[in-house]
Amino acid sequence: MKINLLFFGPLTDITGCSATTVEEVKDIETLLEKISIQYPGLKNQRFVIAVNHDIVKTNTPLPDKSEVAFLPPYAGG
Amino acid sequence: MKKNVLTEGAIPPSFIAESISKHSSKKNIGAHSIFLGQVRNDVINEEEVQAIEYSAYREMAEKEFAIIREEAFERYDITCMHLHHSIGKVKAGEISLFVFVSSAHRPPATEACRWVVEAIKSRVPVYGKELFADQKYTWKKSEQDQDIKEEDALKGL
Repeated sequence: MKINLLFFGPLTDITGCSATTVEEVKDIETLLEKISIQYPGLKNQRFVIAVNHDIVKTNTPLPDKSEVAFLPPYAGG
Repeated sequence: MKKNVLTEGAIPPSFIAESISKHSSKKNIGAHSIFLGQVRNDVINEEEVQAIEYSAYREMAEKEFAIIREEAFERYDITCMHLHHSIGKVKAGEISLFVFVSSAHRPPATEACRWVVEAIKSRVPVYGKELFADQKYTWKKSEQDQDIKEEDALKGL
């Protein structure tokens, strides 16, 4: 199974990418553990997480081919 | 066909003028309230912002723009609304946000316009790189950093 990750704003500098994929992560908590090792710079960053365009506030299962976006504070307008 | 709010590059003043003139056929309108966001040449660490390069989580941004639109129509007695937000590079002095609200009478137009602008700034996943003269940049700070409350961000990271 594969999950698509998207990074926005300053998180693109911290991770060095705007899009990547991960495999074998069943839920948000597992994903966070994995990426905090892969991108340790994320540890001090504030962001919300959206799964398939909906913001999630609790641990959420990740179906295959989900799109998970890491959204730092918005700066539009 | 629904039009996207995100539009490539700066919003030309002529487009704003055309939008106004297109409404002259809607004779039930008595008031227009227009907000224009212009890129400002802020000085940061003694360097002047030359442009902002906007980026966005497009699908989610368009989804949120649509929700904000619907909510505005529910909250205020308005006749129509047009939203345009730039994506890509917009130079200092150019327009990057155009909110245009019309109603029969003044108060709903001005109140709705203000509400929509604040909603866009706090709820739409848009980001900006402030570009300086020498290829340097900084990320535009969120006005409402505190909007992402501690309990909304997932704990553990």
